Amino acid sequence: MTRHGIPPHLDPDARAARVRAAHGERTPARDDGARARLTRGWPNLVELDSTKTRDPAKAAKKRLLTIDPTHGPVWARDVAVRWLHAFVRGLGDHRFDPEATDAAPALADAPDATALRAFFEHGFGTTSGYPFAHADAIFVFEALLGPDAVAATFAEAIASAPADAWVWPNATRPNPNVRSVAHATALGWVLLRASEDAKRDALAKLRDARVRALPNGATPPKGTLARAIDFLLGDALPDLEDEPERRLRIAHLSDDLALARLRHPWRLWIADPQDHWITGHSMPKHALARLAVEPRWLAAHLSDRWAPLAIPFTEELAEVREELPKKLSKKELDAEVRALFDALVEDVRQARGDRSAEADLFRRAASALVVLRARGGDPIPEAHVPPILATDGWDARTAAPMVRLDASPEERERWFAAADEGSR
Amino acid sequence: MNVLALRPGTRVRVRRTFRDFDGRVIAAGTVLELASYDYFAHDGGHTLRFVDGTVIRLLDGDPRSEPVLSDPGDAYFERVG
Repeated sequence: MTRHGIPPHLDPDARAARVRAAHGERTPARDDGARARLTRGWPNLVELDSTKTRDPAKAAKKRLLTIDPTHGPVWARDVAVRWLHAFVRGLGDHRFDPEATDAAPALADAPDATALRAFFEHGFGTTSGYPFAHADAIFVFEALLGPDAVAATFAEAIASAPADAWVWPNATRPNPNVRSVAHATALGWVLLRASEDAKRDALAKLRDARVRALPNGATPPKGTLARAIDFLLGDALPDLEDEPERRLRIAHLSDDLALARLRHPWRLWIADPQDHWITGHSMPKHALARLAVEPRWLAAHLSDRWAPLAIPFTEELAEVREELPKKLSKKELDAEVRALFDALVEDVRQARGDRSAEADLFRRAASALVVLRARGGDPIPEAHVPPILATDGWDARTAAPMVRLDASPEERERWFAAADEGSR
Repeated sequence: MNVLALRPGTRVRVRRTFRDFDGRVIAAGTVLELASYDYFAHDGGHTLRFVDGTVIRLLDGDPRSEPVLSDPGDAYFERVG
């Protein structure tokens, strides 16, 4: 879908589109655009047809095991504590160098810190405080220390933020509150899985600090840490059409807010797949079937996360759209995915540790899996495949294989089994 | 005037009553001063916020919104002040 000839992922704030539009280069109304959506109804219209809810802790655990089934649980606690402190200190600062902190010796002590280092670096490779960029690292810390300890660390870091960070407007540079707002966002993410006691303690600490910073109870201006904390405390709701506030959605993750996003007129832009997940509402089947052949682009803030992997899939997705292949049933999809993974296991075996050959195999398998999932009814297959194949199989930025090449055949089988499980 | 030509600070008078995409009625004669404008590309959604708190949402391709968006002959908005 393009507006004024510019794909939205290349023009996330639509500035270029507006400039072109202002010069009269306006795309005429088309049959396949907004008009068609109106005619046939919103493709992702929510039908309140399900009462099922999912346990975020269980999902997090599964996600962690998918990330690193071999080494996830074996890092020593003190190693993780030191890394967590370095992580908290550097969050929101893309120039932060973890090797220059007291985490460096801990890195050397870790049994296998390759994956942890990759998660860590990925978190700092993006400049925003958007939690999904840091989610992988946070999951690792949670698995080692428990969500309660991670939440307490973040709450402590926020409570000790300098006084001016609380009311410093976001638009002013240099900005001392970027790190604190990133802490607030990450804390909102962690609190989803923390115990009730830990949640109460963390929020009480934040409330005390908030009162200390703004003793007169004034409403904090937009973009300030105080306003972000108000979202966490449930004292304010973010403005959904304001991008920096929308980014903090996770900090106030409630059914009400998720529903508000799904019911917003610009829901295709504002709502994310996790809104369906949070509210337990699923898309109607006919909408899924329709979206299967027209996968939409991710919103810009999610593209940050998946961009290195989403771009190679563009061709495959275009092919799916053009050829309109037969939609796969769940059974057919399972069979196709199983065959794909069987072939991949066999190919990797035959590659005999050749890194470039393995990278090529993973790349082709990921593309094939995107097409299969699109045909199976996945509305955003490009978002779901990276955690299954690419994040595990590649370093997202260098496209180099992250699979431990020295792994025994049994370990490798376990990895594929986990990836296969994750693809269902 | 075309809403894309509106800039923050521009004051307009509504010449003809219309409903926006949310179904909100914008009455003829209302004078509005634009505070901000946002475009949501996935949906083709235009959001116009005015100083008095009024929010108007218009959608590309929506039969009700299209005439207001293009506003041929200044039928809906005229610049004032």
